[in-house]
Amino acid sequence: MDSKIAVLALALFYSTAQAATIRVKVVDSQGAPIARAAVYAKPSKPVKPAKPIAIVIDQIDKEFVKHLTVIQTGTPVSFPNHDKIRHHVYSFSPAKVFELPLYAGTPRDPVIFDKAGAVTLGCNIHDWMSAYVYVVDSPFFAETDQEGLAQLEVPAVDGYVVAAWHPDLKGGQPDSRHLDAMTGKPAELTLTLHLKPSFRAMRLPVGAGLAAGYR
Amino acid sequence: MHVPFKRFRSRLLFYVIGLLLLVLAGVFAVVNQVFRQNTEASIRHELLVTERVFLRLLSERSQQLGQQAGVLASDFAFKRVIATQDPETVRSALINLSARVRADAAYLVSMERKIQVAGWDRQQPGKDFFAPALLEQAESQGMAASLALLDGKAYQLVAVPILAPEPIAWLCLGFVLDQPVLAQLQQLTQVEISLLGEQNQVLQLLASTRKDAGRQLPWRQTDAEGFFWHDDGERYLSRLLILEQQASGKLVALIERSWPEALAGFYRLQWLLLAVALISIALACIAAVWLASTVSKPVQTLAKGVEAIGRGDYGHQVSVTSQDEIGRLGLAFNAMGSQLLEKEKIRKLLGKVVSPAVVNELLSRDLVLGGETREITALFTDLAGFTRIAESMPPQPLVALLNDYLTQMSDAIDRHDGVLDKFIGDAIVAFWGAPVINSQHARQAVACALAMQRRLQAMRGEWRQLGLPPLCMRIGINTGAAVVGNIGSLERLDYTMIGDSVNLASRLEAANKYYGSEILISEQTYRQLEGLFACRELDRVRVQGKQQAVAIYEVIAERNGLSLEQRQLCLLFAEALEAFRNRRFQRAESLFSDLSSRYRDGASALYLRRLQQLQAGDKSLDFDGVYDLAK
Repeated sequence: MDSKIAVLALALFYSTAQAATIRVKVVDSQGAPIARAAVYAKPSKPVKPAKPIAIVIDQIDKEFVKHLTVIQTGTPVSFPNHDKIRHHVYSFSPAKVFELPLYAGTPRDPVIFDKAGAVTLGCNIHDWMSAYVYVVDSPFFAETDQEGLAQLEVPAVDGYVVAAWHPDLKGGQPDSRHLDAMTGKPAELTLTLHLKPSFRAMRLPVGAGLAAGYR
Repeated sequence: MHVPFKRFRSRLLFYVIGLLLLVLAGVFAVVNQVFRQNTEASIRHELLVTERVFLRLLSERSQQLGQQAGVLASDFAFKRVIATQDPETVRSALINLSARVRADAAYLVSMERKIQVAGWDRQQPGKDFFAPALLEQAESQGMAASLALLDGKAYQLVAVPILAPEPIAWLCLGFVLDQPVLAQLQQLTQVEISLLGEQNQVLQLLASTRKDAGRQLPWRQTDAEGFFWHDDGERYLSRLLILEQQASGKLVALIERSWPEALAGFYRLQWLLLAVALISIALACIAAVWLASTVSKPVQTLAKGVEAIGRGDYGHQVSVTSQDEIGRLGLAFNAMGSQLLEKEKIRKLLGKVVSPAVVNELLSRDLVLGGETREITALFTDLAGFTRIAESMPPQPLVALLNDYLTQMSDAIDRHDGVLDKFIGDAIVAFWGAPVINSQHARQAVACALAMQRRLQAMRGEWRQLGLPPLCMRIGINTGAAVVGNIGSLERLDYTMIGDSVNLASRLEAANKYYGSEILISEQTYRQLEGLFACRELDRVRVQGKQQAVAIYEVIAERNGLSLEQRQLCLLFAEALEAFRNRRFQRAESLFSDLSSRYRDGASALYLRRLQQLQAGDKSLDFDGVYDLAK
């Protein structure tokens, strides 16, 4: 929802210029559509960056809401804790190393993600809690739907590099495609991501007891 | 197999002990075989179980170590240290971390499988991790364990991811597999375990529960069933188990059990078996000796008894102590002895009463009355003038004299195989040719008659010294058919003879008086003598009731024993007799008177008397030279 709002906002922002549409389909190596993948278009010529809109990543019932958040570089993100217990949100990802040591409620200062890249979020006291923030140097980004489709509304400028990323894209570079000068017609392209199985701590099922361990 | 034994006991001992030894040897061989097979099978099974237990223990230890490593990996401070990217700090923290679980080696490995930090080894960072398969397994299962050979030591390695919350690195810990670990295992299984590393075809001992470590070990293919090998002279049944096979080398477990130790129980059993064997042999010996004595003693007693019977001691009896076959034999033996004794008594008694030949005949078949017609030779004797001297002698010397005479005569008859029929006072009746059939009966009777006369001759000398008058014995012998058999009643019977020929013999005995002869035989007897004896024909007589005239002969001597004088007498008498029968009476008278005066020949005197009677009466009309036998 947040991303749609963002896209809408960007569309309004660029409403003065001639608009173009990029339709992206993201599939895996077998050709199956990948949902909830980050898709973004980076203009060949840097555009004047828009002022980033503050983003919120909530913690409800010992889970991050949402799993993947795509943001523009420099976006401040706040991590309100809606649980009755404290959380200890951290990231050791090179794009943003930070810690919000055990806190309740909403920290006073939001965390500003000033470097492009993938940031893996965790909670020190709940191993299973994880979320991803994908920081891009562009205001044009979107998330794929259940059919693996995403649509980007961009100003018709010289050209774009369109790329896709997913949390399970282990250690791999995002698949990208270069688009030449945009015309009025919507550009359509398919990006393929080689995913690996998700490998992280899983939340214990209710009643499983302490012995269940990780999977 | 024939083994000569002098004693039954030796034979019984030989066979009983031989049989027992065979059985014991068989039992021992079977026990030996079965025990060894069972021991081997159970050791093989033990080794197999040990192998499983060993693997299971390793696996459980891996699980434990893995869980410990997992706990370490979720240490947030360590994650924070990793985020600092400061290698020395990370290394120090890693050593600190691994010390908590007493790991012997620790590595931090990047997601790209390169060693980031090595706990005790500064040389390695940046190199590819040596066990990529371990990480692959950990990636799919969240945790992995394996065995590895590092710097000549066996390690148990575990790898777990460090999650933040995505994996950011691998924590890999190593635990040395050393003697204490194996000792713990040995406590459970009682089997020796050694760990061996193979590098460049060289097998090196890494750890062992055996004290004598540092041995030369043969490299061989693993054998699922185990194998035997000798080490320092001791035999081991072993299994080789490849624990880990890497490009750099192998990690092998040698599970083994000492063969003599495993057989210790059997050796105890061997001694026990030996003791049982000795005891049973001893018992069998005692039993055999006892058994032999129960058999051989009565047998020896019986043998002595049989020897006694053989010597003629029919009264010998053996003592019977048992009820078995030997006892029955003893009873039968005693019964036999009693019967023999009885028979012998009868035989002896009969032998005194009747002739031995008759005794045998009587004893040889059932006693029946009845007889059969046989050709026999009958002999009658009489002591001339005995009645007269009997009247003048007291009874005791008379009986002694008579007994002496009869003893001598009956002995002569026995020696000539004659059958003494009976004594009638001083007269003796005997016969030949029955009951035993004998073709020599006539010759034996005549020979006996001559022997009797010779014995009497000898006795006469003794009698003369006693002041007794010389006694003459007359003997009549005839051969012919007579009925012989048991005659009388069943209570009282004689084996005797009846018939005319018997009567003739008796008559011939009496006729001696008439002819002045000592032994008279009939023509029938004479014909069977075949010239063995010197005889002279005395007369031709007509026997009462018979038409046929019978010649009668006087026996002079054995043919070879004839003296010149006797020969002369015989020749002249034959000439005279011929002249008499041819009616040349003058010639006959001349010859007879010559013989009578020269030889005092009774027969010649008789013929002189006959000549006088012929000359006195009407003689020549019906003279045929045959006279009635004088009575």
